[in-house]
Amino acid sequence: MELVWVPMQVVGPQEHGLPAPDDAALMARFASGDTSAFEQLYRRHRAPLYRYIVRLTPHRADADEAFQDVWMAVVRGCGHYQPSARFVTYLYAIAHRRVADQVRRNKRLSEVQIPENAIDRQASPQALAESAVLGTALQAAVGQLPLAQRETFLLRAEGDLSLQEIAVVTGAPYETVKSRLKYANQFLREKLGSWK
Amino acid sequence: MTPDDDNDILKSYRSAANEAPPAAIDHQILSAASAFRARQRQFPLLLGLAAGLLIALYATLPKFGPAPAEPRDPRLAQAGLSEGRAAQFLSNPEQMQQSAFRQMPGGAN
Repeated sequence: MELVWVPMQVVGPQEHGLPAPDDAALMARFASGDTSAFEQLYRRHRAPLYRYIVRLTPHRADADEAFQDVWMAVVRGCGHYQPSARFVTYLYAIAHRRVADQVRRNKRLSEVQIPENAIDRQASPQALAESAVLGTALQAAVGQLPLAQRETFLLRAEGDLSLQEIAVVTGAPYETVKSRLKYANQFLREKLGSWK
Repeated sequence: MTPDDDNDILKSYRSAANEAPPAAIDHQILSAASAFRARQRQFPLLLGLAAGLLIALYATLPKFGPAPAEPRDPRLAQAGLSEGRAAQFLSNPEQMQQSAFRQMPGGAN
């Protein structure tokens, strides 16, 4: 009988139809030395976290630096991480502290840079009706929110955190978080209304 | 204002929120994470090697130190005499006897 060597194909759990591992499981695997687990975790949360930091930081270079610092804090803390809360709460709590440090350092609470072509009042009603344009305009409007309301909105929109989790991340009382989100939504709705 | 209105705002926002970090930053972060774990794995091995090296050095280096002290004469210790000349004197019984005779009245002759 002749033996034939066949390279083994590494297949992930998704290919087997298994559910993707949750964040806590990935952190535990990374703490045990599985760097591919960190990569999965990173790819899952990188984009919303990046947008959260960029929309709170006036300068892109500062935002990039803060973004890297947050992930390095996650890497260094992997051995101490306890899944007493959701991983996103832990992640955004680190990001909140980092951004707060940066704001204190810069001492400038100005609006973030508004994306180009975000506000095009010459556009036809048909163009304005498209949700993509409206969404872009909405993002620009988010940049005009006061910092605390902006952060609360972004934690909800990007991190998908509950009001209770936002209170934990920001250290603000639950009712304060609730009213910040309410005023933020009210402002954004008024901005949306001016486009209609 | 209803929760549905708030959900519409979230939906509108998320539909256009597609910004992501640059690939260079992705690479830096993932590389740093791999390097950190590699250092964590190597640290116990390096610690063991360093300890082994220290033990080997300690075992092989020649021992330097002061010369062993001469045994103390218990008689001198009781009398509180200095060890130098008195020790030489006590170690020579004939000299001690002659010294005793000299000290006797009329013994110096």
